[in-house]
Amino acid sequence: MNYLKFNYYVLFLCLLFFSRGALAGTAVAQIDHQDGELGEHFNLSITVAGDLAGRVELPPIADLIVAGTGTSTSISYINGSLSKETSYNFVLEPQKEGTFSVPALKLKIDDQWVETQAITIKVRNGGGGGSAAQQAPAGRQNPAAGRPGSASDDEPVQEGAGPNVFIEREFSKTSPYEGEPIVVTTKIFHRVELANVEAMNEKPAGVRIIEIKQGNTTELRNGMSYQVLLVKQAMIPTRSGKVKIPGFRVRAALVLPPERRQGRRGGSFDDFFDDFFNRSQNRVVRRVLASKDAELDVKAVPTQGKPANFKGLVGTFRIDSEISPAELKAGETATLTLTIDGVGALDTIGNLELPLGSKIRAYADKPQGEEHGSEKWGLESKRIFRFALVPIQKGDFALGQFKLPYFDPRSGKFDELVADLGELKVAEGDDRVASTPTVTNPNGTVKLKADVQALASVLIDIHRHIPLACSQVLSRKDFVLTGVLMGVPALLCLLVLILQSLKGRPRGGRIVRRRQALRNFQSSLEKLRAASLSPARFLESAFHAYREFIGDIFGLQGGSLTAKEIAPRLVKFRIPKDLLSQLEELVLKIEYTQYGSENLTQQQVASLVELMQDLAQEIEKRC
Amino acid sequence: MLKTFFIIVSILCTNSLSAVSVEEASKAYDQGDFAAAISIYENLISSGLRHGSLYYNLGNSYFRKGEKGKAVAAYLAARRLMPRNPDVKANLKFVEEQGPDKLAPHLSSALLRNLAFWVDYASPKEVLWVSAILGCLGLSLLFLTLVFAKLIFLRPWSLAMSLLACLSLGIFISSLYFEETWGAVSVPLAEVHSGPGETNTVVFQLHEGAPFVVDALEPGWYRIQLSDAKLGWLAAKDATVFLF
Repeated sequence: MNYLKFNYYVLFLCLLFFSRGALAGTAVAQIDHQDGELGEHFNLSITVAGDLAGRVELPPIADLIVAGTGTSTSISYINGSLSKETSYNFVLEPQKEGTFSVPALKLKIDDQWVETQAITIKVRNGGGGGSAAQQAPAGRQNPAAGRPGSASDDEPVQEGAGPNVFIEREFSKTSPYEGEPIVVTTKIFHRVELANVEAMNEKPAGVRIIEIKQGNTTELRNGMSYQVLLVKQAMIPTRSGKVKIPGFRVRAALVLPPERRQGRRGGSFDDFFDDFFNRSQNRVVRRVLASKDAELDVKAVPTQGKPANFKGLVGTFRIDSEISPAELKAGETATLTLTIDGVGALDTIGNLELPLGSKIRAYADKPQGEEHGSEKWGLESKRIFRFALVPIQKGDFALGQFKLPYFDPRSGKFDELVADLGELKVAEGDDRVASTPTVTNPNGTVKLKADVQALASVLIDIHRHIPLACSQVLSRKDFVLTGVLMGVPALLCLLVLILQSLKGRPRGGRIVRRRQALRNFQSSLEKLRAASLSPARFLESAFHAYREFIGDIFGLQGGSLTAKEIAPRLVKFRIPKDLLSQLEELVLKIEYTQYGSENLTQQQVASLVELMQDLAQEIEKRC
Repeated sequence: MLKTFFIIVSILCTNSLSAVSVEEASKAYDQGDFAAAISIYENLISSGLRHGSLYYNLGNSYFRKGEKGKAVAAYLAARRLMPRNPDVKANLKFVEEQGPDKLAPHLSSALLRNLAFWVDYASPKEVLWVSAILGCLGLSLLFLTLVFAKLIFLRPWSLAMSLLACLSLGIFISSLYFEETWGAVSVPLAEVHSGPGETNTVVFQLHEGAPFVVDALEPGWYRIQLSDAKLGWLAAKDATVFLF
């Protein structure tokens, strides 16, 4: 018996010893995949069971950066014992191809030193980001994704940020002439959803930029389909020499697919719990994406063959001329319109000078221009120059030709715009021209006021008489005055209403009631007429309706009123005596005819009812 | 009584002095002494006189002096007080067209803003007075119908006018809500930052005369909104804004 008891003790101690050993802390290192391509992320997970002293930190590894970290803890209570497991996750991003080794980590868990196993990663050059992304499992498709959960952090600039998002920029020409527009096409390729795309471009020195268009398209790269955000711009170099064009930068939110838990592929149960614990939601990370900087070698317009009156026009242009009216009197105004349009910038021209001689005065209007980006040529411009031409004597004037030199970058030669300005036939007119008042515009051009007003292109004169007494700004005074303006009648209304309610029913209500009573009386009479009653019966009913009317006027049950009751009430309402006597007469007549022996004719009844109606209307008016 | 008399006399004196100043400013303007004209107009404004024509004339003087940005700001202030004045509109357009930034001096977004179209046609003061007059008429009619029972037939009119007055008051309140404070860039090139401070990122640049709406104020900074809905912070030193 004792022997058996001893064996049980040994067995118990052994179990205790081994179970203690089993309960000791453990640390396991896992990598989601050991073989991958450049641009992919590798998720290293170190799972610690037990209480860890300190933190899990990876030693620095050359060309392998930690793009993100995270921790998750699970606590389970099984068969009465509590166990805690913590996973320390690291997102590793290789910077070059090769083999990387994550050394074994020595961790102190539950007061014991535990060592994880070393991990080796092989990284090869994929030759194209697209394929890498295609092969990558869900959850790490986007190399630009970075830290999981860092939804609001702005990451540093990432050039060609990875296979899922990158920017390409193309210049239609890298060595244009100064002033020659070129087309710059920027494409933002993305295989993940982009949101809140915000351009962060600084205006580069030495070029003028005009937006042409933006749009979305789809393109294939390395056999993979990408959504492309297309931005087309026109760039016009404004100086010669090397012009540095900074990379196209955008800040965008990348909507990434949900990250799967490592080491578990539990099928639908996992999906259920992912959904339940909200782990299947997309992740959003903010990134700044940029294309590479570029450099334009801008050529100066050649000096050889450059005309003396060259105004810096570079492009391909044409000119139109129109004069209206062509026939006029001396002193009158004709408008000459020169329209220049074509490919290239026209903003360098400034004011044009017309060689018209001394017999015609020319007054330049402010040039009007428009320019828009062209997908084919970069920039298309149009500029309209108007001149008020005032001939000062009669005669036929050939205005000659207007010439404007420009440089054509396509041919590399100077050319000339030539416009025939037409003719003016001038009849004799008055000589008010010399005395016409003039105004000076800020550009220094002298203009005739009349022409200026006609062309509507100059500053309108100052206001000479200003009613300073009336301020146009809202002030306390306005609020007080408008308050008084509305407050006084409002208070008066309130006062009247209070007084009327103190005295009894409001008068307005009684008037309405009075009118309604008359209407009721009249409609009763009409009904009685339509009923084809005997004269006596008709009179009786009409009188009843009349008494009801009187009763309605005084707010009583009119049918029960007697003539004696009616009279004092009417006196109280200041009904004139003549009307009162008429009423008494009417009542007497009706009573006499009702209770008398003679039969009433229809005419007698009609005249009595008529009298009744007249009196009713009078009462309604006078009450 | 004596106090009231002195107040009236001082108001009359102030107005006559101001009228003299306006004449002096006009004379200086005609003689090409735009700096003197500006100084007089600015003094009049700083003395508390608020009239659209003063801002308009100030705008003309600035423009003649070559300060295009300040001119735009003055015209915008004039427009706020005289929204239907054709001279203000014409000169504002004229000056705006000369700037490189093709920005419209009005916001073209927001359905609510479009619904409140009257903001472009009437100043809040005008709307307030219209509503007050309508309200006064409506309530006076109501009072008459209450006192003189025979005028009861006017009651629907009084109610209609009171209703119009209420509507007009609503419009006035919304005018105050939708009223925009416009200003303009007054330096050749201004940088607009992502926040109120030089250390914040430059989000875009504006040239002199570019109009903007002041969205919010911080010491030394305006948060601005452009007609193309761009937002940013502009240093107050780079801008001219006439605040009423």
